Amino acid sequence: MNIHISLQSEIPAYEQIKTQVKAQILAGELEPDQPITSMRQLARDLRVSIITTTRAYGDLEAEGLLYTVQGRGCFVKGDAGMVRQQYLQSVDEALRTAVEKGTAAGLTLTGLQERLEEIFHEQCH
Amino acid sequence: MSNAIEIHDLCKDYPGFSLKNISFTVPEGLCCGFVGPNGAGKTTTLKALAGLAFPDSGEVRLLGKRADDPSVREEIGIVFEQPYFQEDWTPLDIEKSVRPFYRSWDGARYRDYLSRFALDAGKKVKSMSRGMKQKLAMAVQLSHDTRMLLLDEPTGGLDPAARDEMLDILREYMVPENRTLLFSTHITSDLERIADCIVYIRGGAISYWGDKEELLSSYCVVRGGRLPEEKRKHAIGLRQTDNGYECLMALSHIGGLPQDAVTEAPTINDVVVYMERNGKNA
Repeated sequence: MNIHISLQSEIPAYEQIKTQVKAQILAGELEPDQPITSMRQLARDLRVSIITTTRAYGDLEAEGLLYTVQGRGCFVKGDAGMVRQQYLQSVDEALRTAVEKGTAAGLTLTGLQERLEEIFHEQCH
Repeated sequence: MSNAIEIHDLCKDYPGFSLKNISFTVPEGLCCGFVGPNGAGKTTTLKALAGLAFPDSGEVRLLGKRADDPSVREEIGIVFEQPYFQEDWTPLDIEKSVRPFYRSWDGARYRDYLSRFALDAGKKVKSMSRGMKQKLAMAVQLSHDTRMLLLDEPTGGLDPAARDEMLDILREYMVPENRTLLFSTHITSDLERIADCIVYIRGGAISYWGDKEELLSSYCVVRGGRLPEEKRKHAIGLRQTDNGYECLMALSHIGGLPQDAVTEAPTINDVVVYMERNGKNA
């Protein structure tokens, strides 16, 4: 894993960890059933409290992206690929709605693309 | 999750000072910071936990056993602010003297730590700096298998780089599961990133114990031009000048402050400093 957090950020540390691990799983950078850094090791590496990493991993587990085996550690869930599919599906859905509403308002493909780019840069810096 | 430390209604009277009904618990596997002003009772409480001071009343349980159970001693590492080594001893002499007390003593690990901490095994304690003695005491406690460390001011008297190194040693200790750490410190900034929970003691009584984030999220630092009269009773550690005021306030009381007031999340240091100032104002 490759995780770096900003301590000056308004976003709490656990949220930053969660977002980054999630992104790496959904991008397929972490393979299903691949062991990942334990919560306690990650707390040490990132120099955050154990509760912080426990909370991040707990949320990811609840979302079906991770699982823990007592005494053996934490793993990427085998069906994390399914979760990725679900994400892609909801992306398609949202885009369909955007096209529908955009064309109704008289936007061309270029117009839609421009707005998408603008919003993308706004949210992802 | 079971509790690694359980203290119920601990009382201890000394001439001129007493611990009053100290109760708190530390869940197994977490790191707990112990804060409070000088003379508040941190060391006395730690001594009671270490079995070095006998409570007048109350109960102290460590790792599910009574604190005076000899079998619990082996599983706990204790370091007090003033390590009690003979001045003429070297780290090698110290090993000889402590080894018989710990069945799990690991000489190779001890020498590893000595070299990691850049401590000369043949150097006498009296020619070591405070930081070196502190690290030596830590090396001894890390060289036998423990499930819990009780440390009194492990970062006290260390320069910023040495403090950072000490905190890293503590983080490393916490990596294996079910290890618990309780340490006292005046340097509350040490706790911002490592502590899961906080025990705050004032005048021999517990002022707060529990989750660190919960403590921080229930207060905010407020600054503004003029504090309305009806809000004064909610201001903790109020500091007023001709140019404005600043104070700590429970989140539940900030509604209704004038428009010009700015609020921000406190650090542990803020909470302790404002509360102490409040105690002095009262």
